[in-house]
Amino acid sequence: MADIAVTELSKELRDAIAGLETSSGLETTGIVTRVGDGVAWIHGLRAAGYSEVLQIETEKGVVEAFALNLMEDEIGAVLLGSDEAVAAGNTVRLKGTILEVPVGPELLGRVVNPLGQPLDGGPAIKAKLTGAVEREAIGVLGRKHVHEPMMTGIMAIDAMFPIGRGQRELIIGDRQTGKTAIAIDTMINQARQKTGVVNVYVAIGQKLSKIARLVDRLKQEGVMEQTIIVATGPSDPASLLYLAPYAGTAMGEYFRDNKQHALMIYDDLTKHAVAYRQMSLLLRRPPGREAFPGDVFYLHSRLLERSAKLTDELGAGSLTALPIIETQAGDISAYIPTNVISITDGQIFMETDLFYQGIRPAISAGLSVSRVGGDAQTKAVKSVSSHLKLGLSQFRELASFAQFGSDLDAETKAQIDRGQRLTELLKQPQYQPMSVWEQVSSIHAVDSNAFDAVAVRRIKEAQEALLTRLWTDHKDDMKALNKGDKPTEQLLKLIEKTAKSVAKGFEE
Amino acid sequence: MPARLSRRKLAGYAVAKILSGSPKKAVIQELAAYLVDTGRTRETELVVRDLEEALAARGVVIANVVTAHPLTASAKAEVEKLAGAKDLQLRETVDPEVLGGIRIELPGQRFDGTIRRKLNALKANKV
Repeated sequence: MADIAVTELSKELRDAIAGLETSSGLETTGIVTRVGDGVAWIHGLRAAGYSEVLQIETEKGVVEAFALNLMEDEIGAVLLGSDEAVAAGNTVRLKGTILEVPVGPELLGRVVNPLGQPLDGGPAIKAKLTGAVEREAIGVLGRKHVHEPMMTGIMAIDAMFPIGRGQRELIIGDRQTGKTAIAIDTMINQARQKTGVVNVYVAIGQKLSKIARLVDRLKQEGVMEQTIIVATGPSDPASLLYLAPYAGTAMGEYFRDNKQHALMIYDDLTKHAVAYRQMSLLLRRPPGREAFPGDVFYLHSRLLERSAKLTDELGAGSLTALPIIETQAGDISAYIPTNVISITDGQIFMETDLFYQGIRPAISAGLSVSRVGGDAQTKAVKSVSSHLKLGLSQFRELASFAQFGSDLDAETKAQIDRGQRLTELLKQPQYQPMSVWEQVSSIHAVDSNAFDAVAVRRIKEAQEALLTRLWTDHKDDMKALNKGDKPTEQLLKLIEKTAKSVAKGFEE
Repeated sequence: MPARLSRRKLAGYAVAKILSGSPKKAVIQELAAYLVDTGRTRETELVVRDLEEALAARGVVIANVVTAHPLTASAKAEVEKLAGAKDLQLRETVDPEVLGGIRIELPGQRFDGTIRRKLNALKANKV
């Protein structure tokens, strides 16, 4: 049998196809029959595929759309631009591609729309590669278990609900409870700790002023060089809001597939579902619960499934996702929140009450969970934080008795005391992510009872003093601790001793 | 109530009937009666397009040819070759607006080799 190289065969076939396409010049065409609300109905184009790009020739130039409803007599397509110029009778061509966006390192530091066009007034993006917006997630054999830490720099999260690279951790809570703040701090922490993780922030229907503020802040913190922002505002067509997270993921996947690590932030998927609902209803798909279409679960599951930790054979890259969901009055049993909770590997639940009590970040210790992060937790933090969650939950149960003060038995009193100290310790201002040694020392100071003498309201001051003392007196030890390995008994004793001596200054 | 018949099926039936030898006038009459009966006269234009496409699928191609000057015999032969139909019916239009070249509109397909289009493409690319 003749030796036929399969790769050569496929190349020849590809070349032949490319040659045929240019030689004939015959284009498949259809016409617009109806248009309105960002949706065009098209007659003809029977060869069109799902999600294929169509080009509508209007008097003011070409407007692109993508086909979502393929029916016997007509195609329903969602416009990617304004529907103002599109009129019934316009000719429609098949572009012959599905939606693609530019990907690659050229996008770092840029603010783009979901089509990859710059919004920051900078030069055109000359990316060498493009990535498909809709792409199938990697299979089981291409994945490895989540085992490397993705430090957020927020002590409450890194100690109690650790996130690993390749994990999907939902940030959920009411409006104005600090959801975005957690995402931003995590991005800043990647730059502070020089983890090399690329951030992709996807703003879905966010106020443009908020995005501008975010960009400013990221520039100030020096994070922008390793960040891509995919921005859509409230005035953008629903089609762009719908595409934004997929386009952002395509950009993140480039880094995942090239042996790097990327962090996706989808802010927020509630608005994404609403945009998709709008599109679906205008395309006359039947509404289901809360008027969302039947495939709203698939909408988010196929998006989040693209986050993964790859095997060593595939380069060991990872894509971590922090989707954000906004609840109404703390109701996590609404349709979209339950969907996304079931898709993700855990959630960080933000509580309004805590926020207004001044406990910020307002993370609820009882409702939050990280299902896969345990293996990925930094050994150093893990070694000191095992009692933290239990201590806090016991405290929450007893907190209502706190006001009775002297009437309580000694054990309850001690638990309440410990809980108050822990709560105070876990408070952390925005834009100040903490490194590993800072977290380990702070937690160990409270956990080893070294801070028992410190007045509750002065815990933060004592913590700051402890960290300063440790850094000035034992810099090398702290640098070693920062590598993340399990600290030696000796080192823990050292921290405890320093904490006890610091505590003396903050007794009342 | 019977299910709504798609335009595509409707056109398919009509064309099959015409090509199998039924008198064209009677078939068209029947089709018109159906559209009036079901209150779908607004779809007439689209039904005509579907008829053209159904005919093309069976080798009877109706082509609109737009040129700046009347078609020469050799150009006509080229058009026939491009359309590749056993029965090609040409509708010629002379439109000086296209400046030169030729535009062929087949059912569901188009070949645009006019100078007007090339100029527009240049303008769009701001070359």
